[in-house]
Amino acid sequence: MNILEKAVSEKRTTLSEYESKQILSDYQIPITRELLVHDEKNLIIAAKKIGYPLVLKGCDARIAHKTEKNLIRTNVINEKEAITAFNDIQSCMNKNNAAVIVQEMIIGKRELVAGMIRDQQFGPCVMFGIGGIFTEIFNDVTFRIAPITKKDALEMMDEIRGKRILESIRGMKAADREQLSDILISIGQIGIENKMICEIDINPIIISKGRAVAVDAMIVLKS
Amino acid sequence: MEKTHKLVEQLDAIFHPESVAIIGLPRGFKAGKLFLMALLDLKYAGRIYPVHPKAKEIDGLKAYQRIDKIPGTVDLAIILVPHHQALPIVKACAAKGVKGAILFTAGYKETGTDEGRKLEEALTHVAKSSGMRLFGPNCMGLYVPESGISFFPGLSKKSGPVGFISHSGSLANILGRIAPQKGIYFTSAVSLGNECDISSADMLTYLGNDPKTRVIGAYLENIRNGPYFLEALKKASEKKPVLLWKVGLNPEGQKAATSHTGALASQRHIWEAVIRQGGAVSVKGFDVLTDALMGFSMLPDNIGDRIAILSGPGGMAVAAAEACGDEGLKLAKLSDKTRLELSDFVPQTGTSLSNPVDVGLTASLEMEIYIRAARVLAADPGVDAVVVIGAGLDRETNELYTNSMIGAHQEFGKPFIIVNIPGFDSDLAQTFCQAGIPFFETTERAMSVYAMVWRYHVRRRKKA
Repeated sequence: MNILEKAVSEKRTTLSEYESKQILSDYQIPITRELLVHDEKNLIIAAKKIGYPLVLKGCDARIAHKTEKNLIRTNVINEKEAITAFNDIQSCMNKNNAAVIVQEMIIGKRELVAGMIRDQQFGPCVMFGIGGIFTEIFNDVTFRIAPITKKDALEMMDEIRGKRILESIRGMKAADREQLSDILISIGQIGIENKMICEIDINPIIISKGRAVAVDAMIVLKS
Repeated sequence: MEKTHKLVEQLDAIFHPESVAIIGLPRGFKAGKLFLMALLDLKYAGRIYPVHPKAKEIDGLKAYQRIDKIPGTVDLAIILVPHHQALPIVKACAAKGVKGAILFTAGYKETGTDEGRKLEEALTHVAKSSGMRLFGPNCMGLYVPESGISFFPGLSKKSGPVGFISHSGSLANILGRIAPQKGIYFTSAVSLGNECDISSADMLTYLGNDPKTRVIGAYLENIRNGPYFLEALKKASEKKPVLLWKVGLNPEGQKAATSHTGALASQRHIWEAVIRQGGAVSVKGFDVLTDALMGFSMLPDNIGDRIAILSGPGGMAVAAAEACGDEGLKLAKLSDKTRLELSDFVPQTGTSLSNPVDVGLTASLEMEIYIRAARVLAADPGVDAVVVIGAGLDRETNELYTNSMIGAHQEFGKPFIIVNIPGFDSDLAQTFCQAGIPFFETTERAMSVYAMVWRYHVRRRKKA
């Protein structure tokens, strides 16, 4: 049974970050390297595999806003810090053996958002815009009805007010528009091929050395 | 492709009917009578059959008890009976071989009741299974001046390049009534109501394929089938400008959403996506719609962005230049020859010979200054269009102004755009529009529409 079927059979309306990103990855959307662990022993193994610095996140499909619940530790640089962070997060989750994501830390100042919403009239629509903590503040986003073409995707990047964020600025490399357009096209494709998905939220997508990586994601299912 | 062909063929026959039955036509002067008055007013040349259960004759026309008693064929049926009586009549029309029926009556899906929804579904079923096409329910139907068909008396008999689609009958009617003042004329206008059969997407397909329609406009409330609408819009926009005014885009309609994407996805955002992917032009509000229909009807395809502004009032000249820049248009750089010629007759003080050309207050008294200046500007090869903000102080001068500007427009073959100075004679404003020169209430509206037309054609040329 795949992730979506399993979630539907469990009558869930959201996928966890880990599950959501597995689906993105199935559609060739670049995601952070990450492993899911439940205990200290596997934490140490996973940390070695991914390599420091790390990000640790509590992973639970029922928790939509991890920052508010104090479930994220960034810049974890060694085993000692990893164990402390892991135990902290698990105690915040009020659950023994709660799942924690061990994730590579993506360094980049530019945060974008991309996603999908299923409109009643027009079906799956792809979103692109300014991400991170500024998403709600600037509301600088644009939409297209799926399926979208490469031309649509490139136009979307030129439509946002903050489009200069994609250019080469302050010594940072320009974002790879080709790669970003592949991501947007894929998001539309996920919407078309999976009727049970009603929303996708990838926020942030971080631009690191010009390449985009999906750092956090949430998929909402039809209830 | 074959489906499109069939739809176009069906609608073409309905829009050019050889006979019309009006079912439930009242004997006295009730609202339903307007549908007969509208046909008589437009001098409809085909056969008109009133259908009435008791009357032998209505307004000198022989009446029939039922549609099946009418000898010969009926192409179009206008159905005015109450909603609970409509279904058997619609079925009888289909059995008679009617090509299209217009259902004026309300009381269906829009009421939100189960009964209304079921009745409407039954109507849809009749249309889908019989091949007769249905307009409405809850609609006014068709205005096709070329055929002498109208949904209201008092609309123009003259045809033009605009095809109009409306989810509101009253709005279509109001637009139709003021259109001649703005020089806007129609191939057809249609009020669609609840769209139990014929939809806005069907109409986009029909008007997109209609060679006489050069501009499509629409007032839209609800889109029934999004993917079909977008597809039809794309195809129509490839052929001609499609101006869409959509209502219902306020955040009030937005539902609570779980994700960021859901929370950010307003109806406005989705509609903007439809406009961009569909290649349409978005217009908001009645004024913008009429201005834009006027602009797209009158301005040629190959318009450029170098604008010359000619004004008597200095402030309006400056405001026009500002509006020009705001819309991404350029102030034309006038040639030395042009400037030299202007200096010949424009007074030296209180004026400006660079663009915007300010001819000062004297020009209102000496209309010759306006006229000569307009001609000099139109002759400059660096000028793509001339915007004139002018008026005289009396009727006679304003007539001279109007006729001379029309003459210059025709002689030089360049777009002229006239901007109102409050107090200018409204019938002369109409004279401009009748001559194919758009007349705007303000320079901001003028520049906004000019830029809209220019951008549309630039984008289209890029695509080609």
